Amino acid sequence: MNARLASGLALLALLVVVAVFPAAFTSYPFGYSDTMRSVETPLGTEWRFAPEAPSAFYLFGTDQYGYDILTRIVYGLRWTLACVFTVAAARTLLGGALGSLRALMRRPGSDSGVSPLAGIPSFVIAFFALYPFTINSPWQGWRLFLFQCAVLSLLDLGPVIGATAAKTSAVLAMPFVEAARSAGAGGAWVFRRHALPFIAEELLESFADQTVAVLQMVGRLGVFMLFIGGTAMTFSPPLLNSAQGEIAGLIGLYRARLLASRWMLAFPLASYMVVLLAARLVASGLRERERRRRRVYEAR
Amino acid sequence: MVTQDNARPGPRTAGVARVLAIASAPAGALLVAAIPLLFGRIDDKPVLTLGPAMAAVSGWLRGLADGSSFVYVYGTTKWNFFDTAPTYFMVSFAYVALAGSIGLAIGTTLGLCLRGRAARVASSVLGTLYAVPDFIMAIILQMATLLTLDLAGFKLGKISYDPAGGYILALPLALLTLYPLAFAFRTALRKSVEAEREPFAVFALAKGLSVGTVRVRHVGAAVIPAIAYELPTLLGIMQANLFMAEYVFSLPGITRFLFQAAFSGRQPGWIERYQYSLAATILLGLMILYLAAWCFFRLALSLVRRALTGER
Repeated sequence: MNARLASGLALLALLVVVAVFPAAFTSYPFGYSDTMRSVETPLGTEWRFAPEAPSAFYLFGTDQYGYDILTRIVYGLRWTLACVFTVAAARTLLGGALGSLRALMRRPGSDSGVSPLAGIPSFVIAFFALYPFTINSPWQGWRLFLFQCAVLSLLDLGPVIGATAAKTSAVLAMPFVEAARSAGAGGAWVFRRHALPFIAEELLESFADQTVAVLQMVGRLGVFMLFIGGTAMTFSPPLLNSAQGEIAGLIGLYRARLLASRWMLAFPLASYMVVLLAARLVASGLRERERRRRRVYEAR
Repeated sequence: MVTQDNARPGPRTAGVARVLAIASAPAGALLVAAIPLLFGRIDDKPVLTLGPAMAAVSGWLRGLADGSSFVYVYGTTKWNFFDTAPTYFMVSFAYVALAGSIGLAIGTTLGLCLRGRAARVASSVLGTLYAVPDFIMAIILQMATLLTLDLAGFKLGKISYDPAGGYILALPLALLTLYPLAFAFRTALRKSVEAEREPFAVFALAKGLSVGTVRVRHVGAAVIPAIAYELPTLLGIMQANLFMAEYVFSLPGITRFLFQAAFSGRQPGWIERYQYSLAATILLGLMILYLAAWCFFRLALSLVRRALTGER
């Protein structure tokens, strides 16, 4: 295992531990809010109001509604990781299946060149599909989450399908496959015994790449106030909140506080970057592993 | 036995398929705009309702005759899309064209010139920057500007657009330049290293031409088609970057207009004030913007190649 893959997996494991046991990393329960508190000082009682800057009492500070930012991040991380892994896995499996099928039907596809539809980014299509459900959704919690994941899974399948189709086609054109066919092997046997082991490697790399892609899409949607787990919005009084505190959404939520209370944005931003770093390290480490294997194979 | 090669469509079939894809793209935009109308609520539960979506699409098509498809409401006033949108389009196109041109020029030049350790360092730095998502980069640019202003003691600075100033701002331009720069650098470096080993480049060097001349006139000319080939991918990335740049920096461009006007009535609970006709028209406009940018860069790259090789 190379250094990048090892460090990426270690970081990811640490993040999973935080996501699974959030209560171990914060003193406050989920949804805890404190808009006003008193502190005894030598000069007498002092009142502190939300938002509070980072201090020994609130390590990452609080937001304008008194929510502890650290608590929001550690409880929100599970939604981020769950969404990223679920969507990446669904895209990889679905795209891998369709790509393999395309190759088996001997339609590996070709580069379609310029297409006007490429002018509409996929996160915009995701926005259109998720908008009616995400803001003040009638669905709450896991139900909404699964719907959001299903929508995100159906987008950006093209690169996975294309890569799998190309890889499968290349494997199917190899001499050992021809030899197996000549010896009487059927299509299913050839695919299962000869193509699948190669495609599995491709799909593993694809999964790692998809985790990065999903993180980006979730972040972009968060900028437009569509949060994984739901957006709570009222106009009177004007309130906007992320229902589950998913961390990419927190960036979008607190972006407007850049001038006045930078800590509110800085800590979710740093947390998101750590998740992104872990995903990138794993993806890059897997590619490096594949390159090394190929070098060894070619040297033999 | 059917082989891979004879299963592939011929050039004529591929050409017809491409024309069909371009011709059917507007239908795709109309359908994407109708997605929010596909679901209604009965007893506070979401249900699939095709009626409103189909009515919206057919209404938009009927409205083409009398122009009502291009009327929208913003605030309490009715506006005509063609009165207001050209400025938004111009701002968006200016950013794509300007940032793309700067990014492609610098990235291609660096890819052609840098070799060895310098190329590895540049590749690593640009690769890292390219890996940072656009919205994060936009926020980091704003934060860095604020910190710099704080440290320098300035009380006033501009981190987003305001109507009193000009349309072209440094931060969004820097953001939109970064990604084509990194993309062009990577493509140019890969292709130029390949081209340097080609017989035509080796032959030119053997004839006594200088390394610089061969890099510009021979290798450079080989790099330009590679970048032109990658243009659809690059423009797709730039369109996504444009959405983020316009939204985060509040630029008066067409992508921000989509969220500002078509979804202006963000009502608690549902989307009663979603303006289908405006959303559909803007999405069609985005396709035109994409095609206009593609034509612009194809032309620019073609002119650059001719200038490098001296062809007429």
